[in-house]
Amino acid sequence: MSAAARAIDPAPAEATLAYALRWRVRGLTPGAHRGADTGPTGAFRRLVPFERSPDARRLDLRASLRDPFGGLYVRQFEQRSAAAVQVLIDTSASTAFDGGHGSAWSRAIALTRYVADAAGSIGDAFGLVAGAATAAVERPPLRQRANAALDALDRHVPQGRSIDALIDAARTLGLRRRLVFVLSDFAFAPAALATLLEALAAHDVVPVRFGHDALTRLPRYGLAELADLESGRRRLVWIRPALRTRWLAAEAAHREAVAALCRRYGQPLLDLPGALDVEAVSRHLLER
Amino acid sequence: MTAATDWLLLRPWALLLLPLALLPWLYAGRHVSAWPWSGALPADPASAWLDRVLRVLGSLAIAAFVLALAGPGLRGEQVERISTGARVAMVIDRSGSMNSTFAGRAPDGGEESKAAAAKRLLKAFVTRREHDRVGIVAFSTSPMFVLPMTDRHAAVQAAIDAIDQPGLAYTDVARGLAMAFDLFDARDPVASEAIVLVSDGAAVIDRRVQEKLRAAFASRPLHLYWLFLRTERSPGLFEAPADPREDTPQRMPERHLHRFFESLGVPYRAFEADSAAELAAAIATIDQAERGEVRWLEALPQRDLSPFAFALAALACALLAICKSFEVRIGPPLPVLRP
Repeated sequence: MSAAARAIDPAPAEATLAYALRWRVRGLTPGAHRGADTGPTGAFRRLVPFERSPDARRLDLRASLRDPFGGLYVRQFEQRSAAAVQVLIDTSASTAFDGGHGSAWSRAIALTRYVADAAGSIGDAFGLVAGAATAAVERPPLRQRANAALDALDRHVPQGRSIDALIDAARTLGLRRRLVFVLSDFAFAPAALATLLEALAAHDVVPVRFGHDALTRLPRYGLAELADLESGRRRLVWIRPALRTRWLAAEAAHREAVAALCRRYGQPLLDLPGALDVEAVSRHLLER
Repeated sequence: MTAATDWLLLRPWALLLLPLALLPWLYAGRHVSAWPWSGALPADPASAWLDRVLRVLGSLAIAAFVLALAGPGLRGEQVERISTGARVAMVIDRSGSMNSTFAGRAPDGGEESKAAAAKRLLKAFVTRREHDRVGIVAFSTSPMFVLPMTDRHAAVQAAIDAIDQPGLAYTDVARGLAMAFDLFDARDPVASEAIVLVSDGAAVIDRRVQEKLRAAFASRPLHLYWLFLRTERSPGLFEAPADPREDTPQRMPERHLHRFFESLGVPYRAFEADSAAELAAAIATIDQAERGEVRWLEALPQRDLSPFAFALAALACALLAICKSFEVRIGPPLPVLRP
């Protein structure tokens, strides 16, 4: 993050994001996560016969002497490896809606900066795809600083109606497992989300929903002309207790359908209806 | 009574504005609430119908305003009316002597003037005969056209009210009668038509004028009544003077006018009244005699219908205003302005 961007960042300077992975990283690059490979140093993992790992420097004398058959044993340690973090941001027009705590889009950018900082600080590669029907901002997973891509995010204005760009990006992520953040307001049909999660089946996905409290504050009576941000269609709604109940139930059903879909794919949904709370994100990432 | 051709538009070019009625279908003019996604909004036919109704109301308000601007109306027309009564032309003397009493004095508190008595009784006559058509001519030095033949009793009463205003000097009966002929407009063979001459004196009628009047009466079979308001001690209509040399039109104009009327050959009666009671009896007699079928064409004025169009537009606007007051903006709260 540039010095200028940090100066205007409303979040306190000490707030940082932390994440842990649920799997052992395969990869040769040294890093901060528990790796699948064994290495010369780190946390003790197991003892193996000398023949499998002929390294006399790691010889475990106590274990070798204890063997009645006189075999020699060597200690093996966990290799610390670097992982790759990918952020997929939905930039459809609905994310521009500001319910009082900032739009989903601005909160997604803020969280992306935290993720980029966290990845950079522990040496993980950071990749980014933002788009709706087509990708607007793309960055391959690299260890370099992501300032150019983050500045491009700031300049972009949400528009478009689908998440096809995210689905395409998910299909081209490759076979190596990554930590994938999906940042969206999930204001689309659950079928599209199912397609996205299917394409991300090989990866560790963190779906984050930036919802709005304002959408549930409906008056008991009134006439409201709604303008759908994505389709632009106008619709008059005669709000009355019967319709209000049905409407709130339908909204709740949609929220629950998204959460249930995420659960079914084993990737619990993080709901952030209010202002961005980085500590809540960290807690979710460490507890899941 | 009303045919399709009776409609009219005063300013038809104003209808060029009628396409403006399509505006509510292009622009609703409501508070718009931005909404991220209406996919989870349940379908609601009532809302959709309300939307249509509001747009129809908007179109209706604009169309009604345009129509009101165009000035719709019903053409004026002539309606034939038939009733029992008569067509009466009142020829009323306005000479100065009418303002004195029957006794020939200026009226004081106790006794009313001849004009006041005539006014009171003629008004009672007109009130009793509500289907009559009445026209009024006054005369003194020259005839005055007061009221055309009409069945509007308010106008007749007002015209009779005016006859006890102070009058002028002379009494020109002949020209008053000639003008009374003009009051009878269309010829109706069934109608009973009468001229009621109310005067307290007469004048000599020129021989040539006499001929013209005779021709006029011959052309029109109407009844003639003369209410002669006789002042006390003045010569009457009927008695011949003792001295035959005094029996000249110049000395006794009333008697000679009476004889002239008798010679016209139309139904004619003269009433010589020297008190208000006798005048009332004379009027009652006329009331009895003049009953027949009258028919006439009444002109109905053109009717302006634009108030109805304005009322329709106002009603539509009022309904729209009520719905407007229920309009709400939902979603995010409006930003708070901090000083």
